[in-house]
Amino acid sequence: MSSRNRKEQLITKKYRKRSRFGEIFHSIKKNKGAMVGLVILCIIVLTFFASLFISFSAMTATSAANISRPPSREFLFGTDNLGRNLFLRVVYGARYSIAIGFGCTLISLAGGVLIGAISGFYGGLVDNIIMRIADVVSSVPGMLFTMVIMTAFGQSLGNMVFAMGVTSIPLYIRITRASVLTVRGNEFVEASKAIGFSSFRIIYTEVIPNGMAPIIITVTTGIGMTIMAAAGLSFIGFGVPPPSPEWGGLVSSGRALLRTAPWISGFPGLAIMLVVLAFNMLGDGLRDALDPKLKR
Amino acid sequence: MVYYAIKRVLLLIPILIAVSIIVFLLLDLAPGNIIDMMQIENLTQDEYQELLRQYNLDKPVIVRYGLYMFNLLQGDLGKSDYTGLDVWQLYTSRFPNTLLLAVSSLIFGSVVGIPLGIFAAKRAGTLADNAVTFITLVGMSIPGFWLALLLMLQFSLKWQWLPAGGTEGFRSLIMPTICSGFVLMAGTTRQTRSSMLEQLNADYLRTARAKGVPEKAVIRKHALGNAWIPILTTIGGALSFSIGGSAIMEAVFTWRGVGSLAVDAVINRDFTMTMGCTIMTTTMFVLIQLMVDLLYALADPRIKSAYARPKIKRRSAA
Amino acid sequence: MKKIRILIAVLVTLASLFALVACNKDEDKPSPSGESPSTSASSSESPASQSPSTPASPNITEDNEAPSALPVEEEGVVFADHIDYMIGDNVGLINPHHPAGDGSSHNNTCRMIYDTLYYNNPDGSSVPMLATKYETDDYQTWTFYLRNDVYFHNGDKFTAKDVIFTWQHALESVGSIASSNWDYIVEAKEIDEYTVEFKTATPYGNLLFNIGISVSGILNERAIAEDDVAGYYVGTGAFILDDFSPGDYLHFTRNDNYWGDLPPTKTQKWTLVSEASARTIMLQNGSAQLGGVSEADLSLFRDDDNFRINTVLSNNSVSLMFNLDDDLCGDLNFRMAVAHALKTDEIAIFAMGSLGISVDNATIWGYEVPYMNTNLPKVGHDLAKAKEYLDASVYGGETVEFTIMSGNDNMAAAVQDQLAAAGITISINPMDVPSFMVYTSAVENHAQMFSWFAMFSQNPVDTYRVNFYPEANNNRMRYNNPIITEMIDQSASILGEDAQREHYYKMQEIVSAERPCIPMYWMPGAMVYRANLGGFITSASAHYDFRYMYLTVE
Repeated sequence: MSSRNRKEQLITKKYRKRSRFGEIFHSIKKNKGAMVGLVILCIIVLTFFASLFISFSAMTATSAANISRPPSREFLFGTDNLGRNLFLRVVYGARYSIAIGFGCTLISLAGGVLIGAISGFYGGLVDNIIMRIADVVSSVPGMLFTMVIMTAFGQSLGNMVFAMGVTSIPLYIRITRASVLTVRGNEFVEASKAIGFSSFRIIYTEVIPNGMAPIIITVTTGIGMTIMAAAGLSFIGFGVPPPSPEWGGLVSSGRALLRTAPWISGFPGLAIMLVVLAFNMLGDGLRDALDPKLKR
Repeated sequence: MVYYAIKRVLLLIPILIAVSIIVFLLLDLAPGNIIDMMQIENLTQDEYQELLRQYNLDKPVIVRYGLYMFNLLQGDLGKSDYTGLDVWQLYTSRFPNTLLLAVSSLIFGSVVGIPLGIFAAKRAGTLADNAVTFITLVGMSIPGFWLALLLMLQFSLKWQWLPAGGTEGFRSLIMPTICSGFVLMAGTTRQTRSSMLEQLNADYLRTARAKGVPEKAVIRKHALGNAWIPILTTIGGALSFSIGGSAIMEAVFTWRGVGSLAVDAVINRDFTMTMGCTIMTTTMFVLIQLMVDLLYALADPRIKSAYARPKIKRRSAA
Repeated sequence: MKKIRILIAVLVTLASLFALVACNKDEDKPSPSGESPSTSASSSESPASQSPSTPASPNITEDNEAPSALPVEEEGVVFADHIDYMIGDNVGLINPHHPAGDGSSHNNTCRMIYDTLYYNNPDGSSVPMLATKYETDDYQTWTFYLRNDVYFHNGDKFTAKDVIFTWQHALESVGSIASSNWDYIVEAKEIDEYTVEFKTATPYGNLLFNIGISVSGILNERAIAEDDVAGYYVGTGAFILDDFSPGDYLHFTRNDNYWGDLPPTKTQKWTLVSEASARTIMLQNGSAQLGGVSEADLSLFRDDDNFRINTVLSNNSVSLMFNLDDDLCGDLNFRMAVAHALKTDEIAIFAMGSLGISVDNATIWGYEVPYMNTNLPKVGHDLAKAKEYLDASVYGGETVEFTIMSGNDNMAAAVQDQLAAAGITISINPMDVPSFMVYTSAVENHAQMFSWFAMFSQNPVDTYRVNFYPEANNNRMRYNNPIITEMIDQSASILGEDAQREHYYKMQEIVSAERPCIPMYWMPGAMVYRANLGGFITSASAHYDFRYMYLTVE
């Protein structure tokens, strides 16, 4: 009897029904690349929490005696041209990059997914108008828009997040709409309509979850791209105000010293690279996990 | 199809109007004007007012916009507020450089990216595949100017093989292309790999293989032919963005393109120049998108039929 | 197994990146004594032009030769036909009569293509140029006698009419740098074909300086009437601007019909390379023979015998200014507290690296402007005094806003840190140039503390007028002291060295005690050039002379 139970247990375990999220998570676990990405991400989250222990004065403390010191035991990442501890600054800067990455994406998601879903689901004139507006917004040069917003409303983290978030909304509108259009034709939507579910409920329960995959992938890629864009803005002088050690700002501050003190740009640049990498690998893993055609 | 194309081109006009209004208003919102930018010492209040009059800055923004559009409708992009130079001339003198860089990045990105993507897709799951994926991701994550400076140090200084800047000669094109094209190459590789993977596992290929079609033809004719569309989207998207020029690349490589024109114009609060750049960039952006969409239709008859004039109302494909 | 493979791939890529970086890191390490490389604040913040050259460190050479002195002709010395000079500032137009016509390279171009009536030497003296001599009894009516053998680049002969035209046109061009120099002359008359008479509003001793500046060059009316852009390129100068691509490069060809000594170099090309590292690379690989270099890269050239360095220091200082209309900043105790909390030598190093020269006099004056008062008490770093003043002030622990122009991050961060040590909390508020100008406008200043340039012209008459005259455009501090205002008005008419010295010393004493601004460091710039290049002049008045630059070829 016990061996039969045991067999039953094993079989049940293997074919146990998982919830949708459980399935996704299981696929990710199998994909090594995505796991690496997840691990790096966890490190970054830990870094974020670590940064809460760094005091503002510790990471802004200048020191004329320690200008541009290479990495050593005392200064893990070396010092910058103001004698500040680069390690502390990079760790502290995790906050900004995460805020920028997540904040912008949140804004784009909130605006883009909702509008895109409406546009795709209802079609017709509504769809047309929304798409044309999206065209206009995406035609306004993103960097220009962000620059002008920063100029008009002041250079701050909040304004940067807002401006970059808004410029990405059209992208999410387009992707959501495309997903929705694909899903809309499916039978279960017809079925739901036949039963008499309200449109809103259909969008919420059927359309969005099934159309998630491309959105998720865009999000993970997008976070990386946003952090890079912030770095680009710092490069031309429209970044987060000093002394905020936003990674992009750190990289561009070391620009003139690339030959004599490469670690000033090096370590923050590495940090950016790791975050972007992590999100992209995770995104790849998610896509592989969510794509039914790739199920092996 | 032609009807569809014409419709899209006509749509350009309202888009341009909307974009121009937005950009004009935004620039006006930014504090300071061109006279403040000039940092003139010893300017009395009277002189300041006189300069405002000369530059039409004493008029309300609607009037200034109207004046600008009036000129524009006559085909005149105006003269840069800051230098007095003709906007069209300045733009067209720089645009070929940007176009050259954009196209060569495209070629670099595709020529390297697509075969690499196919290579990775065929060997999905192996070390080679992971290495390719990893290198492309790294390539997408390196800050552009960082890579640019590293390349310059190696090739311009150490080996003295390539010039450190300027737009003359084929040699000066190499480094900017690699830097700008790297991200595109990475994106193309990933996109190619993923679409090829989808296709390679498709059922119809099993049939082809069973029929005895050689593997090479399977990949080239069948798989690639169907994988085109997402790849085209990536390339088209990248082209439409790089047509606006990249101020950063241009600064680092002293590449005389239109990207820095636009950025400088905003910093200088030069309305004519900003509007000129925006209008030109938007136009080309929309036209390129249109071209990509038309190419979709060529590649995929299902889409082509969707563009056709609807005799019966149908739901358009995504 | 796959995890390990990915890790290997990671390590391989990182390793190759490191290799790339390491191979290109130059071996030059700074000495730890404080002469360390730092990110240079971009010299694009410099308002007017880069300024005078004065050797700041012992190992920096200086080339200062009289304008028309040709290099010594020796046996077998051959000069190169062409010199490439990499500039860092964007020249959009050449027109000293246009409000946007200003800037280092713009003004240097003016010197190349125009001649002026007199020529300003670096030490402040003036020598004849287009005029052979002048006469004045009362410094109010001036008569200039002009040369009769000068021709414009377009063939027209130079006469008194051209001088009158230039003066009139300058006055009509509102806001141009030419007008700010020519408008001391209220009346100009042509006496005969080669004689002009000027009248100034009040007796003005420094007229020669104003008309000797490069942007006071004589223009050609006919050329301007024919082409209102390229017509301004026509002058009587030693070089002809034969190719100008705005934002790109300027190309000069020697004027072989020049009335004066012929320049040794046939052609010069000044190319805009905005990226400092690129300029360094171009100097090192030979694409250019002269160029401005960022402070951080100077160490690469210091020990190299193939190059020499010329340091230029401006009369302008980067100063921390207070908005005197603000409640907190209008309090003298607060200002003195800030003044004693700052370590300007450290700020200088952080901002400018080894080029950083802090302002260590107690006075507020220009670096090389005559009559600097060195007798005033020093207002330097003293935390005890700072705390004393702070307690006596109205400061209640609030965060003070410190407005800067983008790009001055290093200076701002250093200031923030130093003030924090004294118990003053500030927040940094960066803005781009036009926003900054509006925010800190002299008419209505919204800022509290801000950093800007205390501009000191070589001409002591103008020095305080620019910064401390009520409603002056650069008086962003909203400084208004009637005594000083009156003294400024009198400055032009004070003649005689002793009288002037007493006058300016007194002014400095009064202003210094009120500390409306705290000068922190002088604006430096460094030019690196090949050892076999010479003949260019970097002068105190921010206008360089590249006409007689030469490159000897073995």
